[in-house]
Amino acid sequence: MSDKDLKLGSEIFCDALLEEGVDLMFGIPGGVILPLYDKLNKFGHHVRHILPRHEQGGGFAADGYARVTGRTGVAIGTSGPGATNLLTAIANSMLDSVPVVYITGQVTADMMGTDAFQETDIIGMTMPIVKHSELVTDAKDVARAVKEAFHIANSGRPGPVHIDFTKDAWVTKAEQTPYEEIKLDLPGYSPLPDPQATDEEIKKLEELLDDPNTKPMIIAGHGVEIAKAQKELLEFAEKHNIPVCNTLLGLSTFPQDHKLFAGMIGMHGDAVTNYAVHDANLVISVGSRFDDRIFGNLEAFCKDTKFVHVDIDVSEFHKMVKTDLPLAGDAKDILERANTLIGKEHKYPEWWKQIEEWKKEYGFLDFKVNPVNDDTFLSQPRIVKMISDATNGEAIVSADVGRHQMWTGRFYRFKHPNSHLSSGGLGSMGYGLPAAIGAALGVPGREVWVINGDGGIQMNIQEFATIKEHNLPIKIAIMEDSSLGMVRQWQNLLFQGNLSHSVLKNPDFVKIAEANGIPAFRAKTYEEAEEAIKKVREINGPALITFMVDPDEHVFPMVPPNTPLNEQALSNEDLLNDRKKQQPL
Amino acid sequence: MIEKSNNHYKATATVQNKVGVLARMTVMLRKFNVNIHSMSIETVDEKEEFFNLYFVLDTSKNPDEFTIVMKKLERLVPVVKVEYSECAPT
Ligand SMILES: Cc1ncc(C[n+]2csc(CCOP(=O)(O)OP(=O)(O)O)c2C)c(N)n1
Repeated sequence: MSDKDLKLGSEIFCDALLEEGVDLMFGIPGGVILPLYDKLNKFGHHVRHILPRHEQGGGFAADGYARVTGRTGVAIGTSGPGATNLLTAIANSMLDSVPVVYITGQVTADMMGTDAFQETDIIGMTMPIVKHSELVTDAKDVARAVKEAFHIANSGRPGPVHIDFTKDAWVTKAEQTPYEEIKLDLPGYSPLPDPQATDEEIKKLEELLDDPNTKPMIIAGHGVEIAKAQKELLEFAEKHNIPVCNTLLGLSTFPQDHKLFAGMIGMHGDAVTNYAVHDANLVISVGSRFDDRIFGNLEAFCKDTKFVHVDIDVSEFHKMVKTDLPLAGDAKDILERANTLIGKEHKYPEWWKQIEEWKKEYGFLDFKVNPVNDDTFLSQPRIVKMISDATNGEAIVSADVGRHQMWTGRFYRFKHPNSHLSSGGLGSMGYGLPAAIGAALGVPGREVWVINGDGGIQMNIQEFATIKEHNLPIKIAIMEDSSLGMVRQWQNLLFQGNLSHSVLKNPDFVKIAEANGIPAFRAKTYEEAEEAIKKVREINGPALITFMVDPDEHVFPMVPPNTPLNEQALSNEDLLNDRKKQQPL
Repeated sequence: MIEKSNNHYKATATVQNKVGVLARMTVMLRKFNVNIHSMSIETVDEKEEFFNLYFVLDTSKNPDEFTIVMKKLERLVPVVKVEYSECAPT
């Protein structure tokens, strides 16, 4: 074969992306990855490349894109700092099971290990935070590596796959095999568990549901969204009249105006939900890994409760709770089979009576306007509700991390699946804004809001420029409380009010937005807030509102760490008067 | 320092013959604070596409907890199979 029949690794890579149907990627060029970039803009008609202003922003954007579209995101960084800047985004995708292929450049193979300029052992660094990774040093391996990466990232339990390409991989040449003929060399990888739950195992669920003393509760997690099992979940819940609560990442997988919807569970979940889950004696978890933020105190959570755990990842069974009935497989398939195999319907009137009583006593999906400084500051939950009402629950909402994140989860009434973006497992500040970029580009035409704290917005504020450059119609709501709010809350309630390094002296966010060409408003009153929300929705492009909110309005309920869910604190007094709940660990 | 009172387990992992496979496994064991007491290796097939890694592991984890570690290990892409059992301290 003559040299002209061979293709450069960089060209093979671009072709492989096209074969994978990639239409969008985020990346920043640099030294060793320039041979790839030399090709990228030439095939840019097919694939849109977005230049974020920081690789972390690019990684989070790819993650946001993947969450709203269900497709695989792509983020690129050069060797050394470009690669290390991606680390937080990679960890985020890992902990929340998001399919993203992360591409990094690497120094030439013969220079590896010499501490060459911008050499870092990025494969070594990402090893614990990826689903898989590979080093590619030659053009002949490029297409196979890409094909394997996309297959692994978005099959089974999704997750990030990282490919580190040495410069040689781009500049060497190889014969190009037709993509469909490339064989995957993955004998150790099976997306689905083996064995999967049998029909007999699924039928055992019926016995548990039949028990007249059963008080069932479904916890629907992110896995429902990943498996696209919303319809099957709804059918199952309706047939057996089981309340369905969501984890933070499960939000938007069950219609929130449905009579079976039972709120959000967890540290800052709904009071009714936490009481109900604590009291339930049959918990059916679908696609949730029992994060410690949802169960409070493990012993109390498990006491007298039977657990059914539907998960595609068998290594999650028994990890946190001892499962009575593990059902291994894809949630959609398991629920579908359960819906046909279990003929009988169920009612649980006594259990529902109890839940309705809690709803009456503690309120449900509603908030108390209870700001400490009512006349000076706005209340965050009320602002979230105003945004929810104005957008009629139709928007994609990307939250950052902190108090506003919890209020967004609780008071934005999501109407559609794949609409709620949040860094759940990693809890990484700086996520909200760039993730919204991925969402806006992934589903153009959908209204996209960012709800962010004033701390977290400053962690990726450089992405204002990216948003403006592409005139993305993202509406940015900053909850400006001049503090690292969630930290302040813990310090107020668990550390005797010692506000150690949690007070922010903020820049003028309106000016920063305007300097980036983004129209911006400041709202100090509810009238101004109402007006600003209306105005930004009318703007055809990005716009920002900074809401001057109360620094001392705390998110309640609060289940202090290691506290049983039914001992959740419902107010400042509740927590401060009970020293037992004030153990910071 | 290795605790004398730790539990000991034997584990056999069949893995693809690829650069870094052992590193991936030790990263996972370290994440769960499991110590490798001893280790040996043998090829499985003539083409040397697969290896068997034999570990004796010591850890404070009880058998149920250890099962989770082994399941996580088995989920690593180049790891084909993991078998394990409790064993006496060596
Ligand atoms: C990258 C990162 N650093 C630190 C933290 C710890 N942390 C959790 S919430 C929080 C405060 C967030 O403040 P802000 O962004 O203003 O949001 P608010 O809580 O006020 O809504 C901090 C510092 C984190 N989650 N992520």
